Amino acid sequence: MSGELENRIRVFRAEHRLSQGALANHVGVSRKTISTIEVGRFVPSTVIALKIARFFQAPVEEIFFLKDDA
Amino acid sequence: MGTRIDMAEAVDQKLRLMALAMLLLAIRSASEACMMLVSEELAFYLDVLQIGLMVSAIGLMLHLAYWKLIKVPKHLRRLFSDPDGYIVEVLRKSCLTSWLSTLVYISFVGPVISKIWVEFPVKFFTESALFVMLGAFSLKFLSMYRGGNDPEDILDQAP
Repeated sequence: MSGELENRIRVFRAEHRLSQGALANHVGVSRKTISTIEVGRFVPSTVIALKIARFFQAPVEEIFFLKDDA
Repeated sequence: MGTRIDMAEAVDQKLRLMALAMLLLAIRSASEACMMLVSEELAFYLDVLQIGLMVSAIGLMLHLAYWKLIKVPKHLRRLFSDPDGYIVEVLRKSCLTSWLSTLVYISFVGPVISKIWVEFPVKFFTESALFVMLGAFSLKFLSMYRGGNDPEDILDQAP
């Protein structure tokens, strides 16, 4: 969506052997929300970003980062 | 856990039904507007088509309402209107597209048509405006919410 926010959700999901649907349920959103965040079509709110980071027990900036920081 | 995963997926599918119901209502409005342009015999068939479309749309809405109220646990109902979810973004853009399309139609297209075909009844314009409004909303919603463009998710098959 913004073209600047990148994420490593797919990598974290793979590490945890987790599907989009399972992650969606753990975070409390629909699967579409996770899939669109993953491909960068939807920029998540701070709340969702923090919930995802908390679920993976990782700092939020390890999952979400700006393109320039990569 | 399987049921919980199914719920996240099912919410997406059921929301598409809502947009589909609106698309059916849009087609119903278009057919109502067309009734003034066609022969009496064809108007009869359009009338039957309208009843079918209306019954289908109401059926979809009732199914969605029943599923949401009976099948979805209370704590998961917020998925339908979660302010942080993708659904709100889809609704916002769909409403904007619908509003702009209707505005353009009412401001520019409608007056031009009324100048060319002065004998057209007001009902034609109200029904065609409804068609534009509902059609633009549902098509935008379905295009943003379609499932086919999801990224490949091999882990969705994981146990």
